[in-house]
Amino acid sequence: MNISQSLPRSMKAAAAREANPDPRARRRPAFLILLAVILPTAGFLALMTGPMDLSFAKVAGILSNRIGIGSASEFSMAEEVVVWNLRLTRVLLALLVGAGLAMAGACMQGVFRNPLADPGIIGVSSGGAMGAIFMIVLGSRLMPEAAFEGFRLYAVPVAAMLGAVAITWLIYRLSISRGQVDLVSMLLVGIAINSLGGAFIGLLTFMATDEELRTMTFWGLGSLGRANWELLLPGLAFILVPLFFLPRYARSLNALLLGEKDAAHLGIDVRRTKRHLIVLSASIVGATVALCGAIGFIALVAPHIVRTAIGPDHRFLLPASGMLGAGLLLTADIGARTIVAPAELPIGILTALIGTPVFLFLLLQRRRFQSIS
Amino acid sequence: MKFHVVPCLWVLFIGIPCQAAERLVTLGGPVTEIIFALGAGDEVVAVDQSSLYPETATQLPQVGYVGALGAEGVLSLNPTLILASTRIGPPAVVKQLSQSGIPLRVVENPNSAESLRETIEALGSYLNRTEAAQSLWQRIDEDLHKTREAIDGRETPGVVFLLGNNGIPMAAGTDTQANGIVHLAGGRNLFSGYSSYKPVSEEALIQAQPDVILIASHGTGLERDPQTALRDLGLTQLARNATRIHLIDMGEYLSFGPRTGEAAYKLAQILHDAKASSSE
Amino acid sequence: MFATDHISVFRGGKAILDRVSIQLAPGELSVILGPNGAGKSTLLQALTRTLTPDQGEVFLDGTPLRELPIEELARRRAVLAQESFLQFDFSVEEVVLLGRIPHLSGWESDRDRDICSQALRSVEMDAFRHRRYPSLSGGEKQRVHLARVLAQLEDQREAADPAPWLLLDEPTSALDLRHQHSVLGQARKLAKVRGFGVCAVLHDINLALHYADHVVLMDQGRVAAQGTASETLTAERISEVYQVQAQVLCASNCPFVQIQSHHEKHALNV
Repeated sequence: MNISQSLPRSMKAAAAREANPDPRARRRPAFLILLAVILPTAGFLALMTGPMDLSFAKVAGILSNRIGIGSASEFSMAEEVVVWNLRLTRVLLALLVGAGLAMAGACMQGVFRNPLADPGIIGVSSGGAMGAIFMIVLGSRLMPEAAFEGFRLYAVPVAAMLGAVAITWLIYRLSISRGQVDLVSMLLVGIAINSLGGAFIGLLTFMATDEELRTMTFWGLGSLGRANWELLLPGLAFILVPLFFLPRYARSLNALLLGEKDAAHLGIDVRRTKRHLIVLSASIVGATVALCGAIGFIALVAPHIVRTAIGPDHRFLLPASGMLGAGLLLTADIGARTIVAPAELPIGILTALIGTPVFLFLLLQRRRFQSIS
Repeated sequence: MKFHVVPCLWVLFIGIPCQAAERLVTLGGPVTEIIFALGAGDEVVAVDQSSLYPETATQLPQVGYVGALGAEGVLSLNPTLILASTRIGPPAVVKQLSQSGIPLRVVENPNSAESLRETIEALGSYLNRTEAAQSLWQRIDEDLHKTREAIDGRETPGVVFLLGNNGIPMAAGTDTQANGIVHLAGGRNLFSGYSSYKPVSEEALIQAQPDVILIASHGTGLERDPQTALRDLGLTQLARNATRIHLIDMGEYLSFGPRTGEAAYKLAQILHDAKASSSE
Repeated sequence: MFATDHISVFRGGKAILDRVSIQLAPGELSVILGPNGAGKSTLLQALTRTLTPDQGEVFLDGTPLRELPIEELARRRAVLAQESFLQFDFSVEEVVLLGRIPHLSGWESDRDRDICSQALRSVEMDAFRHRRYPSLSGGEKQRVHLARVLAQLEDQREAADPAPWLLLDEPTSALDLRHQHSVLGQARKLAKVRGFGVCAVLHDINLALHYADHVVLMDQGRVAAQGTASETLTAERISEVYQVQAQVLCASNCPFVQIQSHHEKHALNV
């Protein structure tokens, strides 16, 4: 009578498997497609919005003219500069930095085996800022002004990357005990490093001229306002190149979540993998800090949303976080540019407004979870 | 803010030559003050957040702080000329603005009579208002002359100018507007060993033996009286001391511009009257 | 064949392992026993290559362990640790699939999934397949990890290939009675039916007597005795090594150890 009873056992099992797969696994394709749709939409919106009122025809005309297709619409030089030099470079920088921060964050959280490991909170960004500041102060004292600009474009990111890597290594060494990363130690080390960073910035404040002083909020809250074609070059070199390598470590990161010993038993060369991952992710964070200051919480929020939606498997987590991080930063930057137009908000204010509640929620959830087990 | 742009674009489209006057964006308090004093106030379409005088300037759209601008915000006002003090920044935005094809003129952020005169002349020539610039400078110069006469022969008081930065007292060194105005008012800045502002200890302040301590006030009304202001900076010993302490409005005294002549005269009275009363 | 040749491990001038030589054969369940501090875990760590002995050499099928590439080693032996620190929100199935990492270059195939299903069934966790790992109890987590290491050992092997090894570090500590027996039963079946090598560190002498084919009894960093369970675990030896008064009794053809504590003995003598 009952059709299901007449089915062979194996088919029934197969049917059960189809009917009840992991909901997160089932969601993965849709989620990735959604991100792939949202991202260009956000990019388009960012190109279209700004304090200057420009029609779609005009933006499209300027872009196609620049690309070399030619265009019928008329536009002023200022409008062209706004679209091509300001908005487009800013969109590209936001994509690069957002994706970089989110993927580096996901990677660090894997290495530290803790979803709370945000590069801003644990002090990696401060390490980058210290490296950058050190190079700026050193460079401006030692180099002639003319040479300094070009030097600054590349030497400062490199110094920031070195600072971030060194600090990450320090945090890792100090917060690990018996092969496990201790959350409290990690956060405490972060507090210490961040106050050291604050002191460093204070020292610079002491040495800086009156004009330099006024750009100091940059290090604390970040801004994409420096975007230009020249800046995108070091961005590509120092963010996109390491980003390209990160997904190769997805399986190793999955194994690392089990703990370092278990990962080693699964055939992962833990020491080497860890070294690579720390260098790659910290370099990315350092480079973003040198280019746009310390933009907080993207590295925390994007991977968290992705994990909640489609699970912690790094083979999906890394690319999805990258896309989501880019989209989030792009959206936050639209806000930063328009909310108080024609003035601008530091973007870190917006990302902190979104990020802090997520961080606190994660902390709370963790406490609840620990009290159960 | 966008309503400025739309009609002008429309005019461009239908091809009628736009015979409007200049559309100025003035960045930096002294620049804005001088432009308004030159009679070009109604050509200004936007200012920065440090432009707090005259009152009408504060009604205009603000494009952010002079040192922390956004390029598109400035360009969105469709300016024909951008006038800024050397404080303009960040450098990346200055670069972006200079690529836009809209003329950007940067003038000194004056901190002496000489640099003030040069700045006024420069701004006058950029706007073809050289006569207005000359008469403005003459007016200021007369006040400065009057000040010099008033203090002639008097003993020069030693002055310290303090600025609170997050509760930390910073004393003005050379190359500051504070140093300039104190000098114009016939005082001597006791902290002339460095430029810009530097944090100073109470001990160093006592050691300097100032006749007068000036404390910057932002004109927010938060500072109740000079003694409290001093105590808020943690300077309890100085507050107990009999040294004369005055609150000085930053906009009025430190922004070198049309008001500087009067400000110098007023400050001279503060510095020397105090001196006179103490020597009695 | 897993063998150690006079391996020693020193920590702070003290020998934690002192010239230990053992030989473990595939097709048998070998158990390492001993009181606390006897060097059981250190010995197992030497076998898993978590540490390299200061002296001596560990051999897996005649090859020095440290010369095997770590990826190959992962295909030839799996390790179940005493505790796991996994805190991320994987599903149970995803955790078990992590065991397939040594065999994959890209994505899991259907075969990998079938292997995982089978492994989950064998530890009676197939109903939990889509549950979130952090929501499980300690014992359930331990069984998921057992399924993971079982999945790790599945490989397409020729008859001539050396047997894979399963190394278990106190696999029963988090489990209730039923699952303690189920895990060790499973382990012995793996050895007997499929010819795998299995080596477990255990605390419980009676579990060892019940399941072990081969016992290595450790005492103060040395091998006190090794051989079959009944040969090795005599009342005298247990009394000596554990410093208790022990008796080996027999109930329904199955030996078990009864212990009298020092304290009781003392009290009786008085």
